[in-house]
Amino acid sequence: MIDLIDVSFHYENGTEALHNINLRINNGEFAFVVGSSGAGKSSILKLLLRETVASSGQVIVNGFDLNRLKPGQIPKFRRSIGVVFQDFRLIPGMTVYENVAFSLRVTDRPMREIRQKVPEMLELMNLRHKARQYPHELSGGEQQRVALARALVNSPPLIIADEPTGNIDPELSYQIVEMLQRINRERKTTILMVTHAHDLVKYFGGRTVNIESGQIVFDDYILGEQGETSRPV
Amino acid sequence: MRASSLRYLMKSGIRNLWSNRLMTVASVGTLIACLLIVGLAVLFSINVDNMVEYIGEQNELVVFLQLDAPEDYHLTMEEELSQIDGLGEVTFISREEAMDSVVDKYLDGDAGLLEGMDTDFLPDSFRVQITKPDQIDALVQAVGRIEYVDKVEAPTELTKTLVNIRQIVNTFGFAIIGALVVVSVVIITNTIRASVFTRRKEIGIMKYVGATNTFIRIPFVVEGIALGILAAIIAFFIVWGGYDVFVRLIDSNATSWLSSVTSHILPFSSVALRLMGYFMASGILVGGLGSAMSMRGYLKV
Repeated sequence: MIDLIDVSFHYENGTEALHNINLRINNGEFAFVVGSSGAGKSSILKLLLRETVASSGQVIVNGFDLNRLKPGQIPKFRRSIGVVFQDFRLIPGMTVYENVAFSLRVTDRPMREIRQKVPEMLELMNLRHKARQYPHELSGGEQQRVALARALVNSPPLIIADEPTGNIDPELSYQIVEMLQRINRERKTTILMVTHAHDLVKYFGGRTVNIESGQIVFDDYILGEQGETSRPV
Repeated sequence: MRASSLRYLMKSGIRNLWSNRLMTVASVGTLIACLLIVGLAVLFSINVDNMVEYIGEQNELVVFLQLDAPEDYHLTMEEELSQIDGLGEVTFISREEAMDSVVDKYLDGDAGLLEGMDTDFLPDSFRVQITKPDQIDALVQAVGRIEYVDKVEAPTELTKTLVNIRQIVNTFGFAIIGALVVVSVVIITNTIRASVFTRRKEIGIMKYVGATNTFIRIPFVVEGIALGILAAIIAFFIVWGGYDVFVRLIDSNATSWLSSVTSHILPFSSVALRLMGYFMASGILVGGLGSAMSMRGYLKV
């Protein structure tokens, strides 16, 4: 669960990136965060990943109060989130299998579990046959699926996706979002997807948070073209 | 941490050597160059030290007994001399032997001139090797205190000069080696830092996935240590080969007066173990510490 309470954030030079943000995303929700460049989307992400700390207000993610988090606890906190980036951020020297296994290894899981879970996850992402390949040998869409597999293999309660479709073909973009929605439905994983692809948002619908000039200007459920919303009943 | 995780981290450190082979070659090359320079300095200093020590050992005390010393007293005295710490082999020269050598040296072996002469005017004496030339003054005093010792002749000035040379060589050698080690550490840390810099993204990704600093650091440190060991082994063999060639060259070219000294150049086998130890220790230390330290800046994501 994500809870931002009266959060403001300004850079060291005084520029205010976020102003008095209040945002709550409940467990099991799927939310789009949209906004033009420079609106403050990246600042929110930086706060949510504890790359930086809010200038004022409270940021609570998965029960961790990020303003009070000690540096030594950051790894533990980050393991409770799966992150997917626009540029995939796979480790180039590792195979697909190793990249996915890595997020289990950092949590010191037993070998047996790694050998069981990684193939399962690759299967789910339809990547089993690519297990031994390196990231540079894959297409953008495939790389993003590897990144997704890596984010999911730990079964985190929350997935944060930062422009996950930004670097892949439009057609594949829909597949990625469908995958995220399926994960949300089947595993009850909370998903926050930051995007500026309005067509995707219009198509899928659901909770949409619009940020402009550091403030939330819209936060509601919209009806998607596909005719469904994930609005809770 | 689980044993399987630790094994994984070690393995990935070794694997990184190959996947970053360009940086591996650069780091190992730098490390080898530094080890070679330090190794040559060490060998030079050990050898100079050894030669000066050898020359010093050629020095002897000559101990003259009083003429009225009781017969066979020299046996007691020999015992006493050999018990003094800092003295080596003791050789007794009886007055008869002394006479013979006078005859040989000054009378062209014609003993006829001295026929009928008593040898009583010549004293018995000892030639005593000095093993601790830096304590020569104390040794001369100690020998002088022995009963029936008449006079002690010692090459005090020469010995002191040699002792000084050794001290200078040791001090300078130490200083030069120390400076080279510092320079090496700086160069290697920079090389490793460059290697870490090219992988800063990778480190960042690991942080996002929730890896602890220790978890990220271990493969890098293992990699650094492996680099160190690799460089140590290669440098060792290069020094070995170079040293052998050098010794052979000297042996075949040295003029006779030099060869008595150059024949005391240590064979490589006698310094090999020590050198390997130095190389390994510095390789491992510099590689491991260098990696650990170079990473610090990139772990704060």
